[in-house]
Parts: sequence; C-alpha cells; structure tokens
Amino acid sequence: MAGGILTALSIGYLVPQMLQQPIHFMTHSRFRHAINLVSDDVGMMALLGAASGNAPKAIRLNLPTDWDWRRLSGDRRVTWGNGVLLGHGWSVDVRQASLWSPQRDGIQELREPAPRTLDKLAQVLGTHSREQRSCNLSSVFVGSLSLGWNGLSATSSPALCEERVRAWIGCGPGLTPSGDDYLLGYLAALWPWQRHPDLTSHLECVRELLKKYMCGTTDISRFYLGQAVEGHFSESIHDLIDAVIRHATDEETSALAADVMNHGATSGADAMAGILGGLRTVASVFHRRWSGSDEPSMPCPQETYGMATHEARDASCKHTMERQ
Amino acid sequence: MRPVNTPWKGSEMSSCFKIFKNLYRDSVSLMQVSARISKLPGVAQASVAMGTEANRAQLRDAGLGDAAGAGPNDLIVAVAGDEDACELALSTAADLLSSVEEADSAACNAKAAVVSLQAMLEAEPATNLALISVPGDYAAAEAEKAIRLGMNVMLFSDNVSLQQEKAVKTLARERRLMVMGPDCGTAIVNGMPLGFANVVRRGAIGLVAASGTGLQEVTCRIDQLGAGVSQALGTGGHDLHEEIGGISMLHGLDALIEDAQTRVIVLVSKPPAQAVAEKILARARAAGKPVVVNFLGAEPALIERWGVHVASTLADAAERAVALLKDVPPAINDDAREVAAREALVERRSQLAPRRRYIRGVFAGGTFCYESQLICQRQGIVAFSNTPIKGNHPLDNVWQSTAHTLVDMGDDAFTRGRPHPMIDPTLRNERIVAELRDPETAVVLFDLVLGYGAALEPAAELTTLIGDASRTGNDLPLLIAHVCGTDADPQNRNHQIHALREAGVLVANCNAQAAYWAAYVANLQKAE
Repeated sequence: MAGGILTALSIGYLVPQMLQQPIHFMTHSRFRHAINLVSDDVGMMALLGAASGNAPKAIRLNLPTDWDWRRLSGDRRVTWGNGVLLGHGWSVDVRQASLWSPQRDGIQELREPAPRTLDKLAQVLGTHSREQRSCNLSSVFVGSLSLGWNGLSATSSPALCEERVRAWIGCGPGLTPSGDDYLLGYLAALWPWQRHPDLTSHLECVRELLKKYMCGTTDISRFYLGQAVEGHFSESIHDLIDAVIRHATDEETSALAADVMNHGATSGADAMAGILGGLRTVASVFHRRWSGSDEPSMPCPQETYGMATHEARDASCKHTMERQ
Repeated sequence: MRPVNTPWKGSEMSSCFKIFKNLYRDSVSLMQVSARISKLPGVAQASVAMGTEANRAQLRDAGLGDAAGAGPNDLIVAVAGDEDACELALSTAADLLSSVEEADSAACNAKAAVVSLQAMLEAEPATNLALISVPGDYAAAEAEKAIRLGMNVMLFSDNVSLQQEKAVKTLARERRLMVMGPDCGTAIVNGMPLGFANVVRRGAIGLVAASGTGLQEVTCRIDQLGAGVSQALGTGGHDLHEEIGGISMLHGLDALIEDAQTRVIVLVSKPPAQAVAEKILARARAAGKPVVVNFLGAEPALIERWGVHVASTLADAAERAVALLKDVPPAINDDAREVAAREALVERRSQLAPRRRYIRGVFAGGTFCYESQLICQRQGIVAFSNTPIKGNHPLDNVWQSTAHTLVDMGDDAFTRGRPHPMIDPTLRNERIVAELRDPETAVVLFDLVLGYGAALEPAAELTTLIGDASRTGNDLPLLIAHVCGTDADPQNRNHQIHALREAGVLVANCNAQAAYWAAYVANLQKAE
C-alpha cells in the first residue's frame, strides 16, 4: 500500500480551534481506517475513514479502499501548517473540507422523551443484545438496560453516583471499556435537559465524577469522555438525541439508534444503553416513571468481560451479587 | 507471563495472564481474539481487556490473577483452565494479536467496511444499488434513505409491515427505482449474485420472482439446460399482495422488456391477487418478447388467455424459457418425470414394509415445500404442513409429523434464534433422521440448496447420519432429494449429488420430479 495525498471530507467543529497555529503531533495509535494524533498543546485528534460519522475532534477522510494506517511504518511525527497535515508518506489537505457542526434549531421547549420512544429504544436494544449474545458479544449494560434496569437516576445520592461511576470507569471489554461507553451515552442523553431543575445537580455530579475518575481508563477512552463532560458528542449520538427531542417517528429513531449501535464491537451498543439509561432518568423527573428506587441495583460487572463459558459467567455473577 | 494456580470448581486448574504493553487493537479484533482462545479445548475462561484498574480488579475477582504491572493502555490476556491449555491460549493470543493486522488488511483489501449509505456514496459515487440486511425495525427507514440517495434497493430483511413496504415501494416508483424485497433472499444483477444466489452462466433469459428458492430453482435449471440468465430480480413474497399491487414485479418486468440482453422473460410467484395478476399479465402480453409465467398453483387457463406461456412447475418454467430461446419444443413434460424413474422406484419401493405409507417432506426452501405440496395434492395426496396450501391441513405441532407431512424448515417457527437451514442444516438434518426412524415413513423427501451463503458441505453431515441410521439394522424408508445448484457453485452440485447417491438417496433433477417420485411411491404403498 503506498502513501499519498488524502482528501478531507469534513472536519469536526472543535478542530478549527485546535489547528489555529502550526503544531507538531505524534501518532498515538493506528487502526485500519483510523489514526489518533496527540500533541502536548492541543491534546488528541482523530482522523477517521469516510464510513465513520463525524465527531467534534475528528477529520473524516476519503481513504483508498486498500488503505491501512497500520501499514505505514516509520516516523510517527505529524505536522500541521498551512491547512495541511503532513505525515511520513502521507498528507491531508483540509482546506476544502466542510465543517460539521451539530444543529438543534427550532426547538423552543424541551419536552419529556416520549414514553413510546423509550419503549422502542429498549426494544431495539434488546434485539441487538440478543444478536450480540449469539456472537458472545453481549454486554451487561446492553442486556440489563433492555430489560428495564437503570443504574443511575436523578435521585441517586452523590455517594451512590460516585460508587457507580468509580466502578464503571475503565470496566469491561474493548479499547473503550463498556463502562466508559455507557457513561458517555448517559451523559449525552442528559445534556439537552441540563437546565431542568431536577437534573442540573445530577448532571453536574456525574460530570465531576467523570473528571475525577477518568484518569483510570485508557487514553482513547479518556479522549472521548473528556469531550463528553464538556457536552461534545459524535454525530450519530447527537442525531439520535435530537430525534428523541423532536419526537421523531419510531422508524427514524430506530434507524438512528442502529447507527449508534453499529459503532465498534460493543461500544456503540454500550453507549446506546447509556443513552437509554439517561433518557429514563430524564423521563423520571417528568413522571417518576423509571425512578423506582433511590438505589438501583448494580449490574454484574464480570459479565462485561464476555466470559468464555456460561457457567463461568453465572458463577462470577453469583459471586458479585453475594458480595453486595 | 505469570502462572497462578487457582482452585476452580473443586479441581486444580491453572490461570495465567500476559500483559501486552501499549498495545492498541480495535474492539472487534479484541473480541475475535477472545472468542478464538475461549474455544480452545481445556480453556474454562478467557478474557482480553485493557489493563484499567477496574478490569484488573475484575480479573482478580474472577480468579484470573493479579496483573498489577499493567496500566490502562496495556492489554491483558488472561485465561483459566488446564495448564497446557492456558499456555497454548496465551501463545495463540499473542500470535493472533500480531497477525490481526495482516488478517484485517487482507479483508480490507477485498472490501473496505462501510457503515452508512451516505459514506458509501461518498466513497463510490457511482453506486446505484444498496443491499440492506438489518433487523426489520430499521429496514424500511434504511431503504428509504437509500432511495432518497438515488439507489435501487435489495431488502434482505424481513418483518417489514405491508404498510412500510408499500410506502418504500411507492417512493421508489416515483423515482423510477426498484425495491427487491422485503425478505428478498436472492438476486442476480448484471451477473453479480446477491444473497443466496447460485453461480449461473450469463445469457438471455431474464427473471422476476416473488420467491427466493423459486428464483434459484429456475436459474439453476436454465444453467443445467445450457442457457444463461441476463438478470434475476426478486420482489419479496408480498409484492403481489393486493395492498402492494405488484409494484416491484411491474418495475422488474419493464426493466427486462427494455433490456436488450433479455430475449425471454420468466415470472415466478405464488398466485397473486386477481387484480394484481391482471395488471401483470396485461403488461406481459404487451412485452414484445416471450413471457413464461409460473404462478404456482394457479389455474393455467386463467393465465393462458393473456397470451403468455404457462409453466406448471418451476423446472417447467426453465425448460419452456430455454425452449423459447432456442426456438424448439420443450424438452420434457411433467408426465415424463415420473415415468423416467418408474422402474427404479418400483424396485426400491418393493423393499418397503407395508406399514410405511407416508411422505415426510423436510425442506430448506419454502417454495420447494409449496410446490411439492401442490404436486402431491395433484396426485391425490392431502398433507399436513406448517405452511399448508389450500386443501392441506396445518400441523398441530410443527415439530411432530403426522400422516403425510411436508414442512418448511426455513419458516419462522424453526428459524427463530437459529440460522436458516440453508446456512446451518443441523436442525433440518435432525428432522430427517427423526422421519427416518418413524416406522410409518415411506419416503423422506428433501432438498439441498447450494450457492453463495449456503452451507459449504450440506451433504456431508447428512450422509453420515443416514449411514448411522442404516447401520441400526432396521429397514429404512426411501430417501428422495433434489439438489438446487450448479456445478460452478462453491459446493459443486455434482459433488453433492454423488455423495447423496453413495448414501442410497435417489436424486431427482428438480424439485418437481422429486415430488412426483415421492407421490408415486406413496400411492403404490397406499394401493397395497
């Protein structure tokens, strides 16, 4: 595979302020169609393939079909200047790229999420969970949320929130562990309703806890959580939340949920579980529909490993329940 | 690596882990590695996770060791099980993690992953067909997106309501696009097989079919007769419903009429609603090309008066189309199918005990089950089925045959939570064995469907099971099958037929012939 001049399709809305002056990046990690760059000055930025949705700190590229970032060995340095990212054997001209920025126009008043939408999301998450389980990819967050479990609520005490966030950060399989993905989704769902008097303090509590404990997870996960605590989320998550706010049709909402869940092996589904959990929290402050208990039960965290055997999984879950 | 001996369920088992410093692999790759090593013999547990504090604590709690030296950006592979198995699992994981890049790259070279239609268009602006296979809840919305982006759609998904189907197809019609489906399992477009299609030679016969296995049978038979296929378009089974109005079949028919490569057209469906049938047949009459129609089970005279060629079976449709193309009379007729094998059937049937009286049909192809019921019924055999045709009876318990029974193992009752029998024939094979053991079974009638997406060695396990059954010393019923496919398919039809014949199965040339044979034997048994 030869390197080359790559075309930038779109840039996230936080990218321009990162690239205001010449910068020296280092390659942090490389995947087939994604590469993460990091700089002491501006932090991390991602270059993604066209198939990915937009993200606030990402540039989407039109990559040749045989492109594989991992096969570009050598110098890890990447420089930015004059509208061009320049790596070893490749360059990206971003001057013609469009700017992606989420729009949420025309919504004057935030209504509660429609109950039928929550039911629909639980249904599609349940379907997804069953399909994942058949591939041994099921996550405890996905399975539990689709069955009605909610780990946090607006009435959870700060101590309980801290217990949950601390337990979930960095917990589970994947490069971005399941717990992180769940929390990111949870925060995304709460964000638009941040000014609701019954949600402000809960959201602020979760944000602060994430800031406090996110040092315990992977660099890449921290990159996304760091954006989340400031209210910045990917295009697919934004579009789904927007559809929920607009009370869009079930078909549209389901399709957007599928876009979210299609991300990664389990990350998308875990984030979707978090979104559903967050929306239930929002709904509960309108109707106390999901709040039920001030101390929702913990899911079985071992299951997030996708243990090799059902027996092992059952044994681990039993152990965890007993420990509580 | 740090081996740790940990008691596990009362026996001494090992657990060990390995830390890969600063190793980043995408989640899908990590899951693949985890799945691979957890399936190794002797491995009781396996975990592949980043070395965050939370994950390290979980590993400790699960008895998989204390990976204290790992940091959040390190990858931990931990296993428990037999000591040798653990060692093997860790070395396998190391190999896989180092080879993931190469393996992924190979896949990447074949086709870049695309996760949205918009992205596909950005990458390949000339794209004009989207194949959509998502859970039914999302399918209509995805199809609508594709149509709005100017793409034709093949909708593999099922569980799409008639209302949604109509909306999507109406939108497509407004934009002069075609929707194949929902529940469209097969098509061949410009020589490109889609879904469960077979490898057939290209030629001048174009098809539009509201039946997946029906389309496969006709295209394969055309290939076997030495002709080829220009286009084979699916419509989905509900297209000819009154509410949909045959929108896709009409579009497909128009496309084939306009297609210069297509010289003969074949239409296949279960009997449509009358108003829809009239619309389609009127269009067919004005096609300016010969049109062969097989509306399975429809009254021939009602079709013939529209000036089209009526086929009584799927195979007959292929034979008539090839004959029209070559301008010769059809090579074979329905009566001849039975006569051709009469001697062999009489000889094999003479070994059956008198108590063996019933046909037990076990089908992977829904249309094969339907057509077999029609043919058996024409021979005076009323049967039970999970998908009964008019005049036949529904089974009280689809898992249990009674008298003459023909079951479609691809129906929802058998595929909920399981792969379709064309992909994984395990359940279908179990049913065949159960029918073999039933002392009242005279004939076990079944199909093997080959092609892309289908099981790679469908005959292998089945012939082993038949061999096991025959070694019990009990008399067995007749086994009659047909193989839908071509020699160019990945499974090689000839190879599969040979394997079946070696196991004592009588293999017919087509589904209709197999059904005739079965009915002939059953009627002989009844006469006795």
